[in-house]
Amino acid sequence: MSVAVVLDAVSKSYQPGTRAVDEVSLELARGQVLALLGPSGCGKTTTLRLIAGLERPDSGTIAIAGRQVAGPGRQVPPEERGVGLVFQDGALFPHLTIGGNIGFALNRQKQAARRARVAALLDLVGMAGLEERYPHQLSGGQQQRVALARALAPEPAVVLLDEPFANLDATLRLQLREEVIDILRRTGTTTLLVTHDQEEALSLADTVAVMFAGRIRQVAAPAQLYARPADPQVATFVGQANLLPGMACGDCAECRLGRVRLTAPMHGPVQLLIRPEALALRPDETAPWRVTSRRFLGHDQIVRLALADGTTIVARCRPGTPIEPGAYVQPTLCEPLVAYPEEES
Amino acid sequence: MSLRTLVPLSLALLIVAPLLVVAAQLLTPSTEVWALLWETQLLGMLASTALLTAGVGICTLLIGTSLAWLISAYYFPGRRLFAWLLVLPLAVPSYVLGFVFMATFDYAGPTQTALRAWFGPEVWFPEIRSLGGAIVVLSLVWYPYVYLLARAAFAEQAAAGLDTARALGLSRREAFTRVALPLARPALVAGATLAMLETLTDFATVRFFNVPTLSEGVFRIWEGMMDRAAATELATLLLLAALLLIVLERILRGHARFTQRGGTAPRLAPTPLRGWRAATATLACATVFAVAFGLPVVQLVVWVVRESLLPTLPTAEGVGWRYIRTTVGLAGGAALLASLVALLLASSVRVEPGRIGRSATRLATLGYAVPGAVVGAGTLTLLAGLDHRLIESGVAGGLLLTGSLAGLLYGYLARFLAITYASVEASLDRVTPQLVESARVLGARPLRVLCRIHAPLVRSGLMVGAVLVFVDVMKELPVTLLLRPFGMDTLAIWTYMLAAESFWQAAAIPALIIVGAGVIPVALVMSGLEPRGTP
Repeated sequence: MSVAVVLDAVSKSYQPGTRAVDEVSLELARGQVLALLGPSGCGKTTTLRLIAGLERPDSGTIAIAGRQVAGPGRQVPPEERGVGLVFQDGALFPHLTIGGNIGFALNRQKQAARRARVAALLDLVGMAGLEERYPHQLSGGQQQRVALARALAPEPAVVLLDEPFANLDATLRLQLREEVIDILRRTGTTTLLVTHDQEEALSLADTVAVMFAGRIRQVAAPAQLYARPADPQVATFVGQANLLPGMACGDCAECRLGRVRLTAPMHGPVQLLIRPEALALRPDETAPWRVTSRRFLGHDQIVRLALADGTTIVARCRPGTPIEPGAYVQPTLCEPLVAYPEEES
Repeated sequence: MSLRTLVPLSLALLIVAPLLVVAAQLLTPSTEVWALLWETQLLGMLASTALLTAGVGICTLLIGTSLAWLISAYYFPGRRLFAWLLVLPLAVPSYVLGFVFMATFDYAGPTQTALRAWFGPEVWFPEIRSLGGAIVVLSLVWYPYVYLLARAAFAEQAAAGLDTARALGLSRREAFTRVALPLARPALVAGATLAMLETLTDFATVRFFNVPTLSEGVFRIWEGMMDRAAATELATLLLLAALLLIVLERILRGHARFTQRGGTAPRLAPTPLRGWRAATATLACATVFAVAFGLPVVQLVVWVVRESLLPTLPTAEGVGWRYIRTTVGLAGGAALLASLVALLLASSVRVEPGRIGRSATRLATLGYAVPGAVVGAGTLTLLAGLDHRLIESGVAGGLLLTGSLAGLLYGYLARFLAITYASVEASLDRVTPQLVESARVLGARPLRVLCRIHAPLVRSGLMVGAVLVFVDVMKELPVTLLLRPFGMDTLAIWTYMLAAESFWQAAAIPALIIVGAGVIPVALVMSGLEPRGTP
């Protein structure tokens, strides 16, 4: 599998003292969809802009399709990098038709070839025949499709998506992002998706890179990332998580839920990661956990449990489970837990 | 400092230099000149300038605000038509309305003649050649500034506030005085300030009406004694007066800001007026429109017809066309120049954003707030100084810059750059950084970005700005009078000269052309103001 984009120890700071991007190293295999996930302000968009050539790194190197485009004394301008870019609002040229927008990068091709390519791309994004429309005549979802077609037109080595679905309403967002990823996979396009939405990242990407405060914390496949987060912060960012203190001794640990198994041997004080859906609830009037609230969501329900000392955990269980606030339950675990060494504080 | 910051900075300095020259005179006052000015009724000039400016400020506020409230808050016959007809007086230069008023209401004019015929020779009529007359005329010309800004403020700000006030139990009138007016205050103050700055600039109308203001004084001294030093010294007072107005505006505006809501915010819903109330509203709008626009246009047309049938002034064949060619050439040149400089300035500030660039542009666009006589006198002093240097150093044998076409265009640029600059800025705001970045990533080099993205998106805004400058130069008097090359007359100067000699019928021809051209930018402004459906 050949590599499309390589970032090696790339750093960028806007103000002295704080690095927006801090020693980031990242590889995108050809044809891969990689999601760069992180809270707003973590440096993920800056990383994207560095790859596109819209920012110049302070240090480190960037290579696209085997060619170094940024490094010491070298900064290839964006127009010579061969990347595609889709912004949050599409950024279509308001004075050009849809055809003119998609064909913008094809100005060196013959008219007929260009027209055929534009028509093919519109067909690809499911908007055949709309060449003569203007951007303001399209809905937000349509504009994003055109923006994608425009980015794909020059057959870039990599397409960079900067929160492309953030401006759309919930229903449309779900539908469009499936379609967009489907198109990118069908065309075998290497894709970097920048997003703050963990569900989006987990459901669309082959690989997810989690970024906090300018640093990459973990790069993993979605399932791996969810099941084995590298640290508690990543764990809580990629999904709902209970973190219970415990004392580890080899393959097992003692905690408020009793004796639990661990995924890897540990020793000493630890924090245990318990996903809400990993807990099974059994009604038991003699158990110490009391149900404090229940939120019914349709496909499942979120149950909040508390101990007399104030410790709370959250469980997610099937909608049919008959549990009422005030009842006492015994939570049990059905799988081994990930443990993190307790930080000295 | 890089070339990119050097370009806007040096451009801005060049544009603002005439003002700096006048301001520098403040620091080096010459006692002889001031002693002389003292003898030539300096106090009188100061007093009449203050009274005239304050009078125009109050009258434009009264007329503009009440008309804007009528149009914004009520339905009555003709409301939609008057909504934009009431802006048209802006198309009539003050000196044109001035001489039409003189001809119509002066002792020998048709109004007083008719009154004497009916009521006898002793009938009383207010003296038209007076401070009061000048205030009325200037207010009728400049009230649309207040009207336009007040309407925008009422439409955009008052709706939500008024509904809340009504819900809290205030009557419609109370809601107006306690909510709508205070909310619109920044807009009203800004409008009145514009009107008062225009009043400071005016020297022709006040001369017709025998009101010796500072602007008029600058020209009297310049024409009477050809004394540039004294005229420039007096111009410093004019500059101070303008700065005082601007500072006052800031203070009166207070911490309030113009806030603009998006298009979806609820707009003020007018209530219908019935019976005599509706008739009064229509009559009020009709009266203002008739006096400020209907009367001058009809009078001018009558004069033009009469003059073409029975010329009162023998003019050589083709003279009119020469004036028109000169005017169009000057106005076109100034518009083109102002557009290019504005584009250069605006884009260079955007390429390299920074404090230096921003202050440079703020300086460069100051000229529009400053009276034309100040810009004219400053430019003249600057050019004469340069000429002096050139002659001393032996580069030139005579005056090279003073009274040259280049000097005149430079003066126009210093005065009107703010207009094109604002237009370019407004349209550049539509070109988001993402658009430019998208184009770059799609393979466009900077030059292609300029041609395919920036130019098409800025073009319409730049056109509007250019038209506004074109028409302003057409109407312009003070800068042209001070800087024009010998024998180069524009339509405005022709009008002014003829009117000053009371050749009203002959003056009507160029005046009507100017008014016709003046309607264009008003129509442009209105088409931008009226709410439209999504494009």
